[in-house]
Amino acid sequence: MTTFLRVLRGEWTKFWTVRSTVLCLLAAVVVSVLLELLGASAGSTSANEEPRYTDQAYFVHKPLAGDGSIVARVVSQQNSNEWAKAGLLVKAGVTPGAPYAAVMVTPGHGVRMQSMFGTDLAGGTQTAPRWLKLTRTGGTITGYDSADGRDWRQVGTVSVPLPRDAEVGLFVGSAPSYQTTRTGGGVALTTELTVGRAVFDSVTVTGTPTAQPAREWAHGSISTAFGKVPAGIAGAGGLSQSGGTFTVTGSGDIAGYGIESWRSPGDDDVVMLSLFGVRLGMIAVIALGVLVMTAEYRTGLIRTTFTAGPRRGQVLAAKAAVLAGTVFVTGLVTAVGAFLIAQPGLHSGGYNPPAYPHVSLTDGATVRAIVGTALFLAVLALFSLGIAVLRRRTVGAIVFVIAVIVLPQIVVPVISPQADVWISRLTPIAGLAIQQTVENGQVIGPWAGMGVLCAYAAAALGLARWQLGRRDA
Amino acid sequence: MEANRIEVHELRKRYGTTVAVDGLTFTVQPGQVTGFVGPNGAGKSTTMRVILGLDAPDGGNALVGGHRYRDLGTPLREVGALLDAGAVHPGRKARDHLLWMAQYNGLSARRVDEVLEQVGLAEAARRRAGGFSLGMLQRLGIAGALLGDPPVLLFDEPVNGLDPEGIVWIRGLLRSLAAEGRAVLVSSHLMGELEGSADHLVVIGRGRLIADTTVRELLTAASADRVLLRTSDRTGAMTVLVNAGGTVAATDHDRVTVSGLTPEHIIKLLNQHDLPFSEVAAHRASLEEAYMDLTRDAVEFAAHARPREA
Repeated sequence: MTTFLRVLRGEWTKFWTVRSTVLCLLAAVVVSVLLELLGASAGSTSANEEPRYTDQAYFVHKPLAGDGSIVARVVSQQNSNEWAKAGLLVKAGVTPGAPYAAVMVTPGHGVRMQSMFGTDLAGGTQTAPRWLKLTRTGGTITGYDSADGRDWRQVGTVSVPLPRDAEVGLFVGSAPSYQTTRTGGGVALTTELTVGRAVFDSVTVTGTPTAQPAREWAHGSISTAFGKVPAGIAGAGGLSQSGGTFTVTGSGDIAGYGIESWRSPGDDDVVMLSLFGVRLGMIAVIALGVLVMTAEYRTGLIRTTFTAGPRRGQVLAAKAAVLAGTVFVTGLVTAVGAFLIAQPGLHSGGYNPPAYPHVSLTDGATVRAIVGTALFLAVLALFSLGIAVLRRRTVGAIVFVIAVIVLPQIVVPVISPQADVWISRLTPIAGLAIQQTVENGQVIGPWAGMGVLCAYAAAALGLARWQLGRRDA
Repeated sequence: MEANRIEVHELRKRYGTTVAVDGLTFTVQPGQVTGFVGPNGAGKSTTMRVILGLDAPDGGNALVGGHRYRDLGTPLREVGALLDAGAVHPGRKARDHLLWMAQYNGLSARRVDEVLEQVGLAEAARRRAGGFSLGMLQRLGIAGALLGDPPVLLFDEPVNGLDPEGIVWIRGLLRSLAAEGRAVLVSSHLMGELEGSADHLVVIGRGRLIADTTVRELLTAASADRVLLRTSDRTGAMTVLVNAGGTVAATDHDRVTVSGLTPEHIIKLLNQHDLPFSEVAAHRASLEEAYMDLTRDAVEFAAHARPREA
């Protein structure tokens, strides 16, 4: 142990007494932060300029003047989306964006009471068949559910600015299914429309109709068709009525910020954007990891080293420790610096709430991304060190590491998007997944990705250790 | 087993199909300078690298103070070595180069300053090694070898690149290191470089031991056998001496070198046949000549021996 500490101390002296080493570290910081500065001020988003809600569903409705209530049983609901909605709706009118309150069942999230594109109250976890009831008293709307239509349980109460005359009825919607793919190369988004279908019966409306004589059921689509939902689906849906049974199909979602089914138009991972510069800065780290070893081979210093310390495993371990420690600390400075420098640029580029809540340095996910970035650089340096021992030549080793890390990202997406996903899972660049703070669309988890890189580094260092032991110096 | 000796035993090392060292055995004793001589490519550097644990032998072993080099905890305190003076990072300052070596072996920074002073590099201590002349690099390498004040020292071609003043300095250094009781092994491809500094010689050729002897014995052996003869009748003298069993070589129009016959016998033969001569002298061989003799034999030996081996 004491011999290892001596060797460690010697390697530390070696490390800082050569200018190229210090320059590599400095280059890593400067390049990363500069690229961040340029990138962040150039990046922009229009997420917040888009409508902050979506109002799409098929609505089968009747007018209701003042207080009253509606009861119905959702007999069945097709699982077209975990967030498909079928239930009762009271709305100021059929105009998109009009104030509303609704109680509903969903295939994946139980019974919910929602209103005003922002309130979302969870009821039980039951799914159809389910009895639902909505009552209006002035501006107060209360939702209930029941297994049998007799024993009612309150789901929630909300206040909605409704005029005296409102529309009440049945609605069916089904949120589009979004597929996000976050690879090393960027974010890919695909949207697929889904159509919901539900069967209702035992529909009863009590209260005063607004017109005499009482109007029959009217039906049609509410349709905003903006945001991420492509236009053209308006009108998707319909009603087929047979006696007291209503079969309703509908597409789209009634939701906004605060309602879980609403998918924020902000797809970018702001923290990842803030740490983007590291992708260029890491080249300096690769160079450093290679140079600390190949410089010894180039000059023959390696023989002096192994004469002073014949235990080659110890020498490699000490080199690795000094390299990883220094790169980690530098990486931490770089990541914190890049993050702080990036925020003002991102804010002026439109990355603001509600689509993009501001992130703080102390958020759990941000801390993981920042510390993880430093860790990524440190492990990358170790991988480079291992390759340097195996290849012994500076240029060969640097080209090899860059080819393994950067090239697949550039070449493979051209061949196939699916291959891009596998590149982000299987090559050492997977380690950058540690920068992810948005869960949806990850092709590999933050720590799993780091694990992949660590496996590469461990393999390279293990082979290097074995080679050092059996090779003549 | 003394602490400060190098023992090389039946050492074999091959690189691919090339046999660099072929069953070499010798011992470097303390208290004297042992010259390690052989033509370029004879296996001197290979042997030194194996002694220092840099290259693994294919057979036999090399021990320093009874230990394999790789088993030494603080090797620079046991063995000092100068292999390749150019083996420094050009961007590192001389003092820092020695400092990391010292730290590897738990030696103090003060010791670094001492050896820099000793080799005459104190003023260049804070200059980067990239700007050093070959002579300065040699001194830096020697400083590294002296760092741990070791009882055993190895120098591979230390005179290379030194100016005359440096050569005088290093000869004195080698002598004084041996006088302090250390075992000193110095390689050279030029025997003349070792004249006046080596006490003992290990001569190798093609990876094999040719001679393991003291300088005095070698010179005596090389000189004793040969007689220089100056005669105006070279042809007559050569015929007579060959018939008498001598080996004769003409070196000049009136000079002949004779071996296998004593000077007294030669004079007697020449007188018997009435041949004129102006000088008959026992030859005092130089170290260089003795070495040339040895290596010439080695080459012939190798040329004859090899096909039989194969």
